[in-house]
Amino acid sequence: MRHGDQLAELYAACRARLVVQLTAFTGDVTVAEDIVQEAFARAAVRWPSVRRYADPEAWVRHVAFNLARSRWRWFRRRAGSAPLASTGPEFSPDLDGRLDLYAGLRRLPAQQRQVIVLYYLADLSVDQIAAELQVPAGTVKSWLHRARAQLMELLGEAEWPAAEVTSDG
Amino acid sequence: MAELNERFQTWRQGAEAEVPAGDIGDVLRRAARWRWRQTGAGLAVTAAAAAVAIGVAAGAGVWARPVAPASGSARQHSTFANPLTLVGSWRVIAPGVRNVLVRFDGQLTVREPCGVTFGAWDADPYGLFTASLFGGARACLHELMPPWLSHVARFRDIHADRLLLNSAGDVVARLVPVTRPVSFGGLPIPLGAQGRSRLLAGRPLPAGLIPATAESLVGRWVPPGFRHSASSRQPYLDFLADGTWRGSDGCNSTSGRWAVGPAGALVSTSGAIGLIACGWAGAPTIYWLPHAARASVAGSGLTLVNAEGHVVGRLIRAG
Repeated sequence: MRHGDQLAELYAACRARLVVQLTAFTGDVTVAEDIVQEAFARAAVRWPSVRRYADPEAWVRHVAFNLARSRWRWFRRRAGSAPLASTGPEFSPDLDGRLDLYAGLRRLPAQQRQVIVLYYLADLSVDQIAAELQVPAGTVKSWLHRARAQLMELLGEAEWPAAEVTSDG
Repeated sequence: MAELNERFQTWRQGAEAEVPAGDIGDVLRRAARWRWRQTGAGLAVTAAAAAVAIGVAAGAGVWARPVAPASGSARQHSTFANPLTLVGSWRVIAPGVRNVLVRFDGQLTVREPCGVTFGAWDADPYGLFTASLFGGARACLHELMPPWLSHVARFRDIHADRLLLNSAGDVVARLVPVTRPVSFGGLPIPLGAQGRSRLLAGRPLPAGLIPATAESLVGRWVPPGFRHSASSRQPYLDFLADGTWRGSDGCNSTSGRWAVGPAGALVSTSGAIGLIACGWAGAPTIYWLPHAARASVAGSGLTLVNAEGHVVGRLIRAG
């Protein structure tokens, strides 16, 4: 099989799930698509090496999350303001469960959000996450515990909040 | 925790199915550009291009920067956006715009130095947005749809602010929250449970219905019984390519704006509707559209579906 075919196969197999994971992490599908494309472009440039790795998808995912964090740091420097957590969840849980999960994720710190995404959306074990993030497994467990607790609390809050219309008439 | 796992699995399955197919050709072209940038030949040109880009971005301000790469219609939409976060009062930041406030609730209210105008707005969780103005202060009526509003096709949130974007993904206005009480010349109109439900539009099209696209929706649609009617009082809905629509129930006419997103998501606004009784002479076409959250076009048939997933109207292509 030619190198280009192998890359195309990997791209077809894992692009959608990577976009979903990066959407959950960044909060924006257009940004996620762009980052995933950039990560695959970098994989294409280094494909002779990347193809020999045990799990090329893990390499692309690692690069994609690094790109997302770099962009976020760049944006925060330019904007100089608070993280993407300014608006509380205002979703009705019966309409679309994804929306209130998304709102909850946005309020987690980046590290906890990444661990949640890797655990629940990328189906990685604690040990695999630890290897990917190059931190001890205990640290991942701790982040995961805190992230779950905070997420459950946020989702609990999101049960029936009313959208307040400002009474500023 | 099991519930959390289940919710993420549901999310993953639904979201992966919605991700538009990518093109490996785009990746390889990007890789080629990236590789070229790493060579000595590319460095000088790239540096010059970067300097120009930085200069343009700095001069033009944040509102003028493209927010997202636009290489396909599906990329024009944020999959997750909360239209309810638009509800409230905002200051409008846009080129040539000064002292303009806008309020989104059960209606759209715009306060300009010339006075207050009002209209309708609609948005959905894909980030689609449309708005129209149809009444208000006489002094503002010469320009009912200001440019910062008339070209808006979607919205995004960025920190506490909201961005209004055109169909190419360029920011046309930035909305900054108004934190102090301001007067819009009238009390807020409550959004209501129906309005909230419509904005969130959570239900997909019923199985078997083919999602409409902007291209498939453009044209004139009439109720099935009126296909060959020569009457000047024929009920119809006319979707124009410029994002506006016109319609009549046979006796009362109105117009508004529309936009279609992924999975047939439909947002629309409509102006005031007269109250002439039509009886059997007409069909309630123009009353269907405000309730429609999804649209399906299959062959010559158009089906409008509300936020709860129920069919609210069926039409066929005229002519």
